Amino acid sequence: MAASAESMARSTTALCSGATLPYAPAMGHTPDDSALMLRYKDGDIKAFETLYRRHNDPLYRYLLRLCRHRDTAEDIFQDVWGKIVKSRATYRPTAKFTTFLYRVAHNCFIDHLRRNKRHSGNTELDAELHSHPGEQPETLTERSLAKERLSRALLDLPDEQRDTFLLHEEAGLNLDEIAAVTGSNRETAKSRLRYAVNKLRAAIDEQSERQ
Amino acid sequence: MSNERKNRVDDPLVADTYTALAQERAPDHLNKRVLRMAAREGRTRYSRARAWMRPAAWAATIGLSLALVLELTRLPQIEPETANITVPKKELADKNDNDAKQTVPAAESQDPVSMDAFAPKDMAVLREADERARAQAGPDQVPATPRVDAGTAPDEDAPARRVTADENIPAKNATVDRDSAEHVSAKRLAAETASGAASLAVAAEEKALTSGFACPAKVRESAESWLACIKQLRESGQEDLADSEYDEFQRNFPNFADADADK
Repeated sequence: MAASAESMARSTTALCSGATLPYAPAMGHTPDDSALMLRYKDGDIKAFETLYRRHNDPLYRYLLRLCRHRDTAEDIFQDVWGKIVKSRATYRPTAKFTTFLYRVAHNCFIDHLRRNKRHSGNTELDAELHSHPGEQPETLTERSLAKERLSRALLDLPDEQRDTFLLHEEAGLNLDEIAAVTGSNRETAKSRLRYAVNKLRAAIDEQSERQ
Repeated sequence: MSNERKNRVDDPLVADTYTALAQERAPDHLNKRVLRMAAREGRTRYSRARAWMRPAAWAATIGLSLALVLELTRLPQIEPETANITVPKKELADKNDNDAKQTVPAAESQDPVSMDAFAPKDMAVLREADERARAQAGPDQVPATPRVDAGTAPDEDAPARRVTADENIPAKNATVDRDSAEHVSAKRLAAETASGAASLAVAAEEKALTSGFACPAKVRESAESWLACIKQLRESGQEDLADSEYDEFQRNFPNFADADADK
């Protein structure tokens, strides 16, 4: 239950960024993402900095786990923000900024996949993500082991399922928004997410059953 | 229970475990690079335009304000409540003096309040203004038309004023004696208190006197004395004056039998 509340809080943090009044920077309100983008369009660099600080870490984690390679994730990360910056002149707040941002990120990742076919066999990040420096496997707690198995299972997921799960967890997108980002329909997104969650849950339960 | 869990897209345990797992943050060098790029891109197109637009806007605002202030200071001072202000006598005299030479503007003539404000309240002031006007006009010029209206109050100093006015009559009318002028002025003043028609008659008589008739009004009262005056004029060689007097005589006594004989 507590985990559900925490998850909802994370989702709400991302979703509620669009619930405040636009263009209200100095009135105690949290500026809307779209309003920040429009202010940046008008030359307000600070607005972009606020927007960036709000989304940089979730986007970085999304790309890091999606690409499974740190340098590639950083390249795509820069590419994504570069496109966001360049698109400010034509930006229209017709949809939630988070959806717009992750659609750009998703497309950049797809482009990267098309350019680098060798991506699928790259497991450089696997060892880094799984390692727990200074800890021996027998000293890891149950929770640490659960995280270890979840991380491994996440990297083993098919790209579409991993993408859908990360969009749900990191970006806080709902099924409709995930469908819009990935260019699929709602049922497809729901199916992918359900498969991903079940596999991850099975990986965690496997650890518990083994003990 | 297991089937229910398999149909759910939200698993609290998975979400919680993932939250604990995913603690990575974007590296600082990446943040700096992106923010630097955003600042560079943001300034190139928009901030540079603002760099000259803002001073230009300020300069335009200040320039227009100064122009407006200068324009306002150049405008003539307008006294909107002239009718309610008690005008000093000197100023009123000057104003009446100007009114005698200039046509009253239509706006002022249509405004009864303004006319009341400019109406002479004191005949002494009026006389003073009249004298100043004559002094400015010079001794050779014929004074303006009489400025005392029928509706104004009589003044005991009016005969003297009339005499002063008569001093400016041309030389050919110099034979008009002072008594007749005083008589006409007295009658005129009396008529001013009477009806408008009487006033007009006196004004016509005064006009006749000042326009070249030589015989006094007292002489004109009877046909015989008037004819005798005309005869004296002819004998003294003043034919023009005699002719004008005779024309006037015929208008006043058209049925007088001896008129042609005396001509």
